[in-house]
Amino acid sequence: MTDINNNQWKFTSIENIEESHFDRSLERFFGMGVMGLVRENIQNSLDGYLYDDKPVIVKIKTGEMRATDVPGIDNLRERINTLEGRNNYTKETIKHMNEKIKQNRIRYMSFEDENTKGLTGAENGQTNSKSDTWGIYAYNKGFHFEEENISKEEIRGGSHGVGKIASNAASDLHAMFFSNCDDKNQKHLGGTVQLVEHWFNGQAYRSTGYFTDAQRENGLLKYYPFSNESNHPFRKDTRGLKIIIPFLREEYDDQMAIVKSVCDSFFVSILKNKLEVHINDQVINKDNLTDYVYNDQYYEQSVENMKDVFTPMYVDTYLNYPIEKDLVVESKDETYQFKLFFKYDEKISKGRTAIIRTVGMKIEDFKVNGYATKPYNAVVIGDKKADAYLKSLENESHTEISNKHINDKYLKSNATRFINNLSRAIKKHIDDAIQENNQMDGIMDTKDIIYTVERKFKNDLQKATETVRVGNGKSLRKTKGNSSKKERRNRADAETNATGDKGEKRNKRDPLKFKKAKGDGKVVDEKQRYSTYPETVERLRLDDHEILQFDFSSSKLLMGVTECDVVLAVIDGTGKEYSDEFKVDSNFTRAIDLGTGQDCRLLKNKITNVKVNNGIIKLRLDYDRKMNKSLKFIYYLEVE
Amino acid sequence: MEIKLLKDGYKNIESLYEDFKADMIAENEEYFSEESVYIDQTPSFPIYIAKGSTEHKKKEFLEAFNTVTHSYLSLDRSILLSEHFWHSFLLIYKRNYIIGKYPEVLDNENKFKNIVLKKLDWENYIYKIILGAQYIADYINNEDQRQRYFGLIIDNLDLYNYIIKYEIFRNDDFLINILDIIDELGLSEILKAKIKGREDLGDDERYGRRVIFELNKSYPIVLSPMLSKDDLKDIFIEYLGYYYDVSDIKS
Amino acid sequence: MIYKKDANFPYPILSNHAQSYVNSIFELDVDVMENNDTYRFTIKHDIGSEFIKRLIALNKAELILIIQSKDSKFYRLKEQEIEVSKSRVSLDQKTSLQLHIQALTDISFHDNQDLSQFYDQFKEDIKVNKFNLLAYSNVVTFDAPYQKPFDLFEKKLDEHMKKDIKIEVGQATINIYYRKPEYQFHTLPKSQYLNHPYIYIGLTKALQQFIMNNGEDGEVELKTVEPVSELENKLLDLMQSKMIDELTVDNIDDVIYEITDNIIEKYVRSVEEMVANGD
Repeated sequence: MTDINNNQWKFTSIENIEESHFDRSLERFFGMGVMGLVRENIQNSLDGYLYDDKPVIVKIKTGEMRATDVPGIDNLRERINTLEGRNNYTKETIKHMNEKIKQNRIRYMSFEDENTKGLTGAENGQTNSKSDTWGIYAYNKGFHFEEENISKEEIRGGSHGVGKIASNAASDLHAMFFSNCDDKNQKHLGGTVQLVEHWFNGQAYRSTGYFTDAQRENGLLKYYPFSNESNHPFRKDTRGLKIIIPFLREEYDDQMAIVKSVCDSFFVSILKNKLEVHINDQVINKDNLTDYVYNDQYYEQSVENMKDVFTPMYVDTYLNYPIEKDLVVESKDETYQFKLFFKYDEKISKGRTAIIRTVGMKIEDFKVNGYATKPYNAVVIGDKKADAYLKSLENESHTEISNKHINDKYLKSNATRFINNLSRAIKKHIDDAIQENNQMDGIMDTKDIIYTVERKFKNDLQKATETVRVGNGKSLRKTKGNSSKKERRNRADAETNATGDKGEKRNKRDPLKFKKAKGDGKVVDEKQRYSTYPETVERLRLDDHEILQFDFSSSKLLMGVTECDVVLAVIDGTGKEYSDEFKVDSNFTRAIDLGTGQDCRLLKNKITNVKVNNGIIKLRLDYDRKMNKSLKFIYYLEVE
Repeated sequence: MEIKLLKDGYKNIESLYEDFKADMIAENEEYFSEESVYIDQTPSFPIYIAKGSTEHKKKEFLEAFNTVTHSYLSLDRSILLSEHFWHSFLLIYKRNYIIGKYPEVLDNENKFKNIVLKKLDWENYIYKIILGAQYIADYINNEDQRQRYFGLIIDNLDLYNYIIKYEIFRNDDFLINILDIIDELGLSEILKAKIKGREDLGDDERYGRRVIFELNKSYPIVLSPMLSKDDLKDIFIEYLGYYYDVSDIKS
Repeated sequence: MIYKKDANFPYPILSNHAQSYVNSIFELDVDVMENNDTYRFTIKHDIGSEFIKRLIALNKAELILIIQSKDSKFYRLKEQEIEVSKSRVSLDQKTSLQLHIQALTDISFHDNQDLSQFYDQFKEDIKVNKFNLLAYSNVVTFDAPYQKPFDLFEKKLDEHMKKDIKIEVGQATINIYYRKPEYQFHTLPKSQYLNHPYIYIGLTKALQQFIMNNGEDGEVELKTVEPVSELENKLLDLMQSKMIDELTVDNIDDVIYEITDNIIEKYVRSVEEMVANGD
């Protein structure tokens, strides 16, 4: 049973203690430091915007106050004193809390928004009505607003509803307050504290405590908020919400870090005049954002050295490099559009893409797979539809889009597809930019090293192939094979005129070509083997014999040679050569050397002991009855 | 029916065989390209005919020839002779048929590759069937005659394989003329037989293959695919005569 | 089946490469249009022998069009145009066309005035049998267009490489990967010339691979070769346009010299200039 009369902090009673640790999210948000806290609170403020034409103003203050001014501090102290840790970490934390709560003067931080709706329906207390955002925010642990207007819901951030706990994490006591002023000028104060399950006055209680009033209705206990009669810093007199974190942990008490977090995550919101942030006496708005971002007190300004934080580049890209055409990315069942800002700069050492929600908050420094070191910088901003989808892909703390937390198989593969397509679409821009950039042909420093050579290849290739259109918008590549001698001659002339002696050379090639012996050991007697070009051979079939004549008189290779063997290789209808297929001894009855009138020996595929007279060979070959007379050959000479 | 085509490089996807076994290809978008083709009919037919008795194989071949003739021959060649199409079709749409008929594909990947993912060339049964069916069906309208020619191909399979191995002879006139000549002269058994007493030739030389090889060597001087049956017959007998005593054959 | 290989035939054949005729010309050109179901080929040819032309006119010889893709189709060419159904030929796959001239009767060459010197002395005795070949033309080939029709090289930056440079022979282009932008000399004047050695290496690699894939005994006869990859086809186009007939392990440097534009000289000259200027 909850003691409703004495305690401003309400804990739900339970039968027994089951969990003895602090909420896991506390540790994770603490790890994210100022950045996590700033992102969660400003995002909530942006979601509650009231006017389309006025920026949401978030006033962040840090300061000192008396511990006794914290509402319900005595109750809280009693609770904390009774906590018992069951493991080292919990023990440590409880010890820390007990030390801090003894302090008289404490630090605090507050986030107060203006031009926002604030929470509604506080007077209804704990309800399940979706329009009573107070009830949801104040009393549900994992809250998730649902706007009645769906399109607003889509562009709202906060997809996981654990944002509030970021504020608890910033307090040494895990305590936070929220002070609301609604459209009817009703002012309420609520709060939560994250302890561990504990025994108190012989009763076990849950870990979460609510700073709230309560009434018993129909036998059930129902929470109603206290109306806010507190003093600074808990007062909220204009419409909107104010988050107050007492016992601020010293890690969060860092003006510079707060300013940078605001710029890093919300530069688009601010530049679009959707947001203005005051941090104590510093104001960041659309007119002076660059004073911070382009300031080397806040940010590394050298592009080469930006390796973790890229905000100055993003801002530059966003302001100066919009791309006309939207980036279109498909998942399996939907098409999403992103506004793209893209800059290519060879000095950039880490290529990142800022993925931005419609509200203007950066989700991630997205690395395109394989392109993380390409010299580019990009900003992409989703439309409302894309926003809703991105939201489903975000991890709990809105800092990464991924498919890891999705369990449904289809949704997971859909997410993979989407992320791949997003990567691909950005890659394409990078590739195009790289290509485009490399075509820039400066006087001294042409980036495309291959360009000049390539240009020559291009010209030659264009000449060599022909693309023909065949109707239906289709085209084909056409090649005309080897042109005739006539054309070759003409071209050779042109070529000779253009480049000097190149055209001449090939006409003077040796009529023989040295052939290396094959590894199969067939050429046992160490003879040199030469292949002949068909143009140097004359062959004529007559009735029962053929005349075969070779003219190698211009061959340097055959100089001084007086005798050789002639080897016959048959060529089949596909152009394939068979060196052992045609046997001269079974197809010819006789081979006569017409130079000497002597018979030559026929041995397997060779005519041997053929006389060479000044490079000329003349043979008469008599056919066997069973010889196929429709054959064609390539000839080889073998020389000692 | 729309046949979705696998994406390029599907053969090299390591998980392909395991996913085929587990029936996980059809549902995995990653395997597919953006392309697809539309075909009217998709009846199954034997795609691998290397096992069983001669009678069985004959039956299988006939079934395949007839199914292809009736349901596939009207497709454009860009589909009909596309390996990409057939592999996609078999892997995705004919898995059950294949597993039912050739359960050995589940035994090991080599069998799977040999039966399903086989290169679409003259050694592939689908290729053999398509070319044979197309050549016969284009020229022979009479149904009984078609069956006769299909039967001739099946009876002279060794020679048919050897003919379609060469691009020169992958030709309708030529195939039909050769089948007619074999049938008229009753040469089927001789042509299949191994050549004896010719150590200069290879080990597994057969009379039929040698005749086709002589025709190959003579091409293009002798444009055998352009010859009439009777002109081709003379040359056929002459070339057979280089290896076999044809005095009894000459008609 | 088309026939391309140069060889010694038993009697004079008219072709663009043989020497049997004084005017050795038999050229073919083909235009193609397509509609939904058919291709229409328009055939143009040029025959360098009056004797052969006369034979065709007298119906003693005939033009035969051969269309070869997955298989071979033969058409007796009566008219300039010929229509072929798409269910029998697909130009999406490489398709080659060639004209042959076939004798329709036994033909004596005794009044053939077009023969080259050697055959002219025997012409009284030359007979070509019925149905034998008289001539074959060049081959016109249609194929799917190149993906990157006019690019031979691509350069890329890859900072994750363990090595400084990688020269890779790709499907469509030769790719040069640099680990750092500096390796492209991009800050120096005439940096493009300074990269010529990489280009030389790239071409050498690509041509070596060309020989490995297409050659026998380290030699490729370019006339008959039919490479598979886009890059190799482009290299083939280039070499043929420079009238190179053969590529061997021994003539790679000659071939590079022919197909490029003095790349080494330019490299040397720019280094010399830099040294002279004290850069």
